[in-house]
Amino acid sequence: MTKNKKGGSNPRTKAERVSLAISIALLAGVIGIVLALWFSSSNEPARFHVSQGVVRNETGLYYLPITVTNAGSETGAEVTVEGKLKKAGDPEIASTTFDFVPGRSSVEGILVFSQEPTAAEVYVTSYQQP
Amino acid sequence: MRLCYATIHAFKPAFTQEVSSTDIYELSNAMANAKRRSPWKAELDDLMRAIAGAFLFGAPFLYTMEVWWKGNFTKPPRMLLLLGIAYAVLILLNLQGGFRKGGLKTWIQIFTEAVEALAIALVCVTFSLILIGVIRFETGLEAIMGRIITEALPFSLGVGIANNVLLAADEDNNNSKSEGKSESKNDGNALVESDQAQAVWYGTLADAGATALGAIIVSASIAPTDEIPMISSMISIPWLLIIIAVSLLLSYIIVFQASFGGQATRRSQPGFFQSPMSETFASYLISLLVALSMLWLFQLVHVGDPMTQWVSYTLVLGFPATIGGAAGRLAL
Repeated sequence: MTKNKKGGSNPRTKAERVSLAISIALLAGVIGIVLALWFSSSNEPARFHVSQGVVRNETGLYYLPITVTNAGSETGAEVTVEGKLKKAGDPEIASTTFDFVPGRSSVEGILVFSQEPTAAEVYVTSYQQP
Repeated sequence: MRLCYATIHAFKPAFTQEVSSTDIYELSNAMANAKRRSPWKAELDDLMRAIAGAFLFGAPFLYTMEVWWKGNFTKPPRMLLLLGIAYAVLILLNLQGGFRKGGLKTWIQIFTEAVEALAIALVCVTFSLILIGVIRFETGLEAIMGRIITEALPFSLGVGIANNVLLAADEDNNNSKSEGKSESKNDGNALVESDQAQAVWYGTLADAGATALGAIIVSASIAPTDEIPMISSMISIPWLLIIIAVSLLLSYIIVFQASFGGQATRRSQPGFFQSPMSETFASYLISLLVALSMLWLFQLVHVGDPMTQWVSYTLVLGFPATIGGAAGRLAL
């Protein structure tokens, strides 16, 4: 099987050589990135930071944009974020859940409050290991 | 082969008076040989066939969120294993097919074709995942690589079987076509104008029906899933224009660039669908109509829902539907 049964293999055309060179470069790039990820991965558990955006007022309700960043290398699933706004009486709580927050990535969401929430305390309350 | 058949169609009225069908067939072969001699065109045809195979097999997996999710927590060693499995499978598939035209291959050709097939699959997947909004700037690098490599496995299989399934069918159709040619030569000018007009209608309806059937098969399995609202929510309205452009381009590539099964036969039959541009646009519209019907049937859109929802859901489902429609026209 090492020789073409038609009698000598046709030499590759220039076009085929160009395709092969690009393919090898692409594949080497992909494998290189994966190896780099492998050697740099530290199996750190998921660690979340929540940052707040600019509040938007819509017909009496306040929309607080949040960005959840996973600084660890493990993925967090069902990541639940809660915002607590202290006020007279019971504090107002808004929450949302993200399906997945992969390691070293971030996701965005919105928490909705009935009062101005700039001073709200926003934190991750729970997540699952997928 | 596209060029020569198109040329013959263009000159058909004059030729049929003076030149026999055998001459036309020889001319078409000569032109096909001339085309084969252009290595860049031949290479482009091979690559287009690979891309078409990748999407025909990979499209349903592209609209499966569980496949993206698995990519979220796929670790680098498992990614390398997946790449290795895809490469090994491609080598096995290349023993009997692959995506390049040609006869028997040397071992080196088998190994290098598998490298190219894997690279093509990875490029197609990366492009598609960006198109449907699954890969973004804020997605972490490990999750991006995980999603691409997990999704690349079915796409690689599609590249690997491009020749096995569809080029073989093309040869069968060519054979049956040449047999048909010798019979029609005996008939002479028996085909009167009214028969030709009837054949045009018949050909158009047959192609439209095949498109609709292919689009139904693909979109019926995707329409009821949550991926359609999910993908629609991930992409912006202007991005939908890019989805339209890519849907049209893929439909064109699948039917007219790749030498897939049934092409030769299809071009020999008359009808509105035989002009490349009109076929691509008409089949896209049919696929969109099928996608819309499926969405309504499975109650993903209701009367009274906002127009943007109708439009974005239909265009998002129209992408795999038009791939199914193109496959339907080739298979039926």
